Amino acid sequence: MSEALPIIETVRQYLTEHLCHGDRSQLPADDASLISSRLMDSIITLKLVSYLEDTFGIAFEAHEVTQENLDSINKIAVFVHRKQST
Amino acid sequence: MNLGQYVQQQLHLHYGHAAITRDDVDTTYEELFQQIDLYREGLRALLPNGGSALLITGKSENTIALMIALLCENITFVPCDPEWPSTRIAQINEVVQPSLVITDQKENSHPTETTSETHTIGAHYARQTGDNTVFADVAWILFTSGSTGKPKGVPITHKNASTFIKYCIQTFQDQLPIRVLSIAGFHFDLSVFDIYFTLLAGGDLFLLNKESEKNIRLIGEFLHKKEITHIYATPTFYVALREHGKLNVHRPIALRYILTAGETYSANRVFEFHQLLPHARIFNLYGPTETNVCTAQEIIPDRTPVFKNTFPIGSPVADFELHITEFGELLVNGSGVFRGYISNDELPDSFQTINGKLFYQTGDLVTRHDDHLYFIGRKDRMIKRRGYRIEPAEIEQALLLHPNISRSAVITIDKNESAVQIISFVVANEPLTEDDLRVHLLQHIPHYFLPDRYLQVDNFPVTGTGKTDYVSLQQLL
Repeated sequence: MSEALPIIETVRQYLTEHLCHGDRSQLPADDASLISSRLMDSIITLKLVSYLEDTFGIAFEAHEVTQENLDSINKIAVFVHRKQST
Repeated sequence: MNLGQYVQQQLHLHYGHAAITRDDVDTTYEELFQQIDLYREGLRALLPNGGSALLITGKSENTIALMIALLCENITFVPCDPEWPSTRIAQINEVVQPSLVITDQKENSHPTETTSETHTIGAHYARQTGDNTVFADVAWILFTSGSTGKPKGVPITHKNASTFIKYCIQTFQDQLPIRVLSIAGFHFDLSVFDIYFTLLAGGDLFLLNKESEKNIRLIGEFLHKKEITHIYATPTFYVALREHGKLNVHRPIALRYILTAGETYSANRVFEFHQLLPHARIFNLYGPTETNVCTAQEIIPDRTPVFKNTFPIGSPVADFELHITEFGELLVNGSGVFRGYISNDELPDSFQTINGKLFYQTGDLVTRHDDHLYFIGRKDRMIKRRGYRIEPAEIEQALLLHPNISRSAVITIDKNESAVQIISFVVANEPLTEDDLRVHLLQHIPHYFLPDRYLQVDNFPVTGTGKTDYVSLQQLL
């Protein structure tokens, strides 16, 4: 995946592939809940975290792998951006 | 022997030590004893002659004290996950007709029809239902997925439970300090080891909060920081721990007993895991909820035999006897075996008499290879995913409760070594999104039953007798 893509599009593409079996029409809205809606279980969440770490060169602290930081595409993008700028 | 009274009596042996730790706060053995007494007093006031209770509570030291008090007062309890949909709790309530409903929330958000006033007992709230069903000698009832589409209850007697706990003490207690991390919910039989083994062995039981429970990376760190020595979880948990627990950073060197059960564990996954923790002993425990653990196998890389990438289910523990039918079904007799389901449905007889002894028909198919038994599959449609027993019929029934769905079918695919996948098919009179279906299902079934994929079709293939043709559905994928 190209580094040049905006963070949010990278997240959308990853979730389309890993959560929606490649079907973009099933992708939840950017502000829709991913974890509390049970769309993303704890294992998918951790795979996403590993992917974000590798793709964006950031590191999540164990206590940062939370619903608060990861519950929607928007929240994920904001959190990655924050990690990149610290 | 009453398990609760025995456990309470033994607590004084460990006074001065921490019994349960949650959020860095210890409950000592003395404090636990006093809490149990307090709960017993409250329960006696409500039910002086025993009875039964639905327990809709989270995991805490208070819930453990309450459970032991319920055992002491001969009140059979039914541990329910507070996250279960209220319709499921209502179904269970209807089957059990308990004397009490106990929650940790003051408001009763579950439709369990209690009109009586709320009594405060310790940190919990109890309401009397007007019923008073007594299940003699039954310690607790665990509800499991039913092939009729409704959950069915497995009553575990004090003797059933004590058989398993005694085996655990004999096998997993040593002279070193014991610090157990509780992973399973209290409605899941793995938690019996966590609670009763730990307290009888004088160990410290660690409970995680809701958020940490789902965060494998945090658990990896926790194992190291808290010097956890024993852990009992499903293979799915260990696979995730190896992949996401950062065990190479947080080396949990105190961990010396790793127990697993609930689903088959592919041999090479175990070897990969063992390489990270070469000093730990790994035990594969086998047994349906109906029998408790009935066989065990220690897994020693390079020594334990492997057949088709699985380990043997092991040798019988305690007084269990095994029998294999000519069709390869495993039958089990022993002190741990339950005595029949609690259900409002007509269930097929699940026992068979051999030489005057009653054997439970597990439905598990096994094969003997070089004198070892290996699990090879199920006689029926039941599946195990992430350690949870799931009857596809329950998902099919729940789908049919949707007003626009006219037919439903659920099939499973077993993709190489990853978890079993559940695929649902529906025929509906309007297009339904995955989101629609998921939201609908969560009102009726636990989230761990949710299909991995949802497919909508115009028509179902049918067999010559007009039944859903599952084989043809399989080919639509």
